[in-house]
Amino acid sequence: MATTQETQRSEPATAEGKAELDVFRYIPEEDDEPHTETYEIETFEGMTVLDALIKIRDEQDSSLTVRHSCRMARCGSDAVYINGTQRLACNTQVSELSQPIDVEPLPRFDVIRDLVVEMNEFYDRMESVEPWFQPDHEPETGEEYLQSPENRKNIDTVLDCIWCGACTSSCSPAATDSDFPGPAALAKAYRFYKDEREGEETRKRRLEMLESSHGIYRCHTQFNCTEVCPKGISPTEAIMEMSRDAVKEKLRFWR
Amino acid sequence: MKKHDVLIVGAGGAGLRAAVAAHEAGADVAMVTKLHPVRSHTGAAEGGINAALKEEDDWKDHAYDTVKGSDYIGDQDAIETMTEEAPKEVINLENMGMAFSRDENGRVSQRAFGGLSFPRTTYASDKTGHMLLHTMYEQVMKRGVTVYDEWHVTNVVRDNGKCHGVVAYDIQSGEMEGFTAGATVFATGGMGQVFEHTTNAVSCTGDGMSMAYRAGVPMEDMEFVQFHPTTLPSTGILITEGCRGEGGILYNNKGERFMYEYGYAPNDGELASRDVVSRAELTEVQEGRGFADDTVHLDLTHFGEEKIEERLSQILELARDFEDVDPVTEPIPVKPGQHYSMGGIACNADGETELPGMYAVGEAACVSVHGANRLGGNALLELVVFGRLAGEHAANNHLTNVSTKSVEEAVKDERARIDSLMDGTGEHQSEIRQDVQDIMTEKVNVFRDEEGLMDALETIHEARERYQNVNVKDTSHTFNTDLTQTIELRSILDVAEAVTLGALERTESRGAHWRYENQERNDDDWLKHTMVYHTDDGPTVEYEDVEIKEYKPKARSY
Ligand SMILES: Cc1cc2nc3c(=O)[nH]c(=O)nc-3n(C[C@H](O)[C@H](O)[C@H](O)COP(=O)(O)OP(=O)(O)OC[C@H]3O[C@@H](n4cnc5c(N)ncnc54)[C@H](O)[C@@H]3O)c2cc1C
Ligand code: FES
Repeated sequence: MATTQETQRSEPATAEGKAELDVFRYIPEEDDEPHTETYEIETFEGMTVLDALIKIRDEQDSSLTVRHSCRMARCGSDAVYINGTQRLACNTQVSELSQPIDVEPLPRFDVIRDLVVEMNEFYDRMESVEPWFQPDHEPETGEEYLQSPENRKNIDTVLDCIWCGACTSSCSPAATDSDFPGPAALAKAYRFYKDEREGEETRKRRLEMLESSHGIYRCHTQFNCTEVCPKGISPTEAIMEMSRDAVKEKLRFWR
Repeated sequence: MKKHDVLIVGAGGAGLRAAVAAHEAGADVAMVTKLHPVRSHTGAAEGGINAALKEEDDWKDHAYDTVKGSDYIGDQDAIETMTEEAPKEVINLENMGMAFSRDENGRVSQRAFGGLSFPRTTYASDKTGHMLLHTMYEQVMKRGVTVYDEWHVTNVVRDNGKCHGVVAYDIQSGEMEGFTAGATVFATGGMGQVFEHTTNAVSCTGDGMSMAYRAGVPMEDMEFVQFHPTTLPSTGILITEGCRGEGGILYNNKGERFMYEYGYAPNDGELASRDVVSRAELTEVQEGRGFADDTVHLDLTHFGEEKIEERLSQILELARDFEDVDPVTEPIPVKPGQHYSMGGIACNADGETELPGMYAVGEAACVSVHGANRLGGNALLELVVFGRLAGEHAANNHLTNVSTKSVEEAVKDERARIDSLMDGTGEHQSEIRQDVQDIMTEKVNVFRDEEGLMDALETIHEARERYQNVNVKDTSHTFNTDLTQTIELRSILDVAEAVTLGALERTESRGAHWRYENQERNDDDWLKHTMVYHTDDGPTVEYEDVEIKEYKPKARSY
């Protein structure tokens, strides 16, 4: 039997039986239309959907393609649509899913091939919020900027974003308005907006930028993004907080 | 044909830092990378980055700790550069916005790490690499540096004794293109995929090491491979040393704190150097004092949920999701796994290699600062210190007489080589790769002996023969990972051979390299660097002196 290069790493403690996967397949040079391919595999204890896909690739069909790298929910390469939800293949246990397991590329992204989607538009959205540190003053100590542990904690809620795209794929306003940065980019904006090291001027400028017609008010507060985030981030709450601040800021201006 | 003054191959922490430095020095710089930058494995680094920041600390102590950790085979001039520059570079990261954890005064926090005489590991929760990688990429975006992502570099263009650039394969379209550059900086990361059980990503296949080697630049000290003592048994996922830095305890199956009980490290216990702890764990297992799957237990249950949540939140997630263990209430089973390559492309502190126009930096490089054993928290440091130096040097000294013609020729040759992998029939890469990974984890692991190393070399040679007849089944030109993996397999073979050969020749035990027949360090014969050169008839080995300054070799104990 063909051995597998990555799944073998997770030596099966007990062969736990079989699983059936219905996988979205599309190779542009070969297929006019996408189709679904059904694969049956032997499972092992602790097998993830990524393990299953790799096993299929190594043992049954070497053309099956999925982006992946770290295998530990860190690189954000393998967000896919599993049984109707955006998830990372590498931290989703096969044993938790009802079968046949349906695996598709991220909805609302263009498909390049099989489970691989075009990410450039997503990256552009991320870049649109100027996601880099913009302090408006020198650090007080002359060395490092001081930041209170509480402030550090505030931004911790969004810092873990791995740019997997799951949230943006789940967001209907992002699907209809390509100028709306979408949940991942707005969470990234919040990361800087809340960082006290940037200073008051930058904070105001960021808020104004985010308030534009395609900005924070586009959010329908449906919490889809929050539900699918594999890192437990709530872009919705971040957006709501910035919207509240923006409104307050206006009131102050009119008073 | 693309053309730039400075081309950075690889966009992990090392490549990104080099790109920022080259850009700031005024060069036209571009990056080419097989993964989008934020997918790079630097993001997986957990524990922290070392720097003598505090008044009570001294960079010279950091230098001494590093020399001692290296088992005296790290070059002391380079180690001094790294440790002296460390505070500046870490503060620079902070000034770029990196979200370090903070102490009650609002300063960046530091914690204890193995092999360090002072708690100088600066951290961002247990996601230091993630924060570093994203911060550096933010800086690259801010500067508008061109990034060619999902381009797989396959070859260095060497002509007339210098480097003219590289050839790369566009993963999305299947096109091959030449990149001409006056300076090419290899920042391609590690090679963990040479082994079966590793903390490294599937993309860590030693490509840069192999490409440099084939262009005539030696691989240095490849036998020194770090096996991290605390990886999850089923996946190889890393449980950071920060756990032990915060007070985590290692137990054997008799409930003994074996690091002390059996005298492996009577002073430092769990926080001894990684090679010492890995050997201790495997000795416990061999003597029947281990748990299932050849593990020992790492206990954090005395921390309480709050402390774990705050300082080691990723560990909670990883242990729960990937090993089904809850560190709050039960010990984590752990065992040693391949983690880091101390060896790499031979270069100096400015990243220059023997080949004019070619540089190396990061885990792909061997400066050498880690010698026979790297201290935790020194790899991320290496990325930023030497990333900056290499980027600046490349920007200021790039060649001006490189030839697009040489690059065009090379593109044709590479196209032919890649096409030949795709036509006809033959064996699939996955089987060959698995055999090599298995033998490496079995015979070129923590404990090594002559017979095992000879066996491993034989398997590698057979694998090379089989590779002659390898065949990519997938014929598509769109995102063909079957093809890219086949290209990577050649790198794995080159690196596996250099590691094993270096290990076989080095008849002493030093740092991470341990030989059954020669269990002592032998400074009379082996205080030297191994240089493996590529020839058409296979690798040849030469040796070079170690740079020793203030710290004379003495016995190493923890
Ligand atoms: C799990 C884990 C935890 C760690 N924790 C710590 C820690 O706490 N502290 C510490 O100091 N160190 C730590 N390390 C070590 C440290 O993280 C790595 O050594 C370091 O991040 C490597 O960085 P790099 O930039 O050299 O390579 P990488 O980040 O691996 O980047 C390599 C880049 O090269 C590109 N590339 C590779 N091959 C090609 C090719 N053929 N063509 C084009 N591009 C290519 C990739 O796309 C990628 O962008 C850890 C390592 C691991 C695995
Ligand atoms: S493979 Fe990296 S996040 Fe899943």
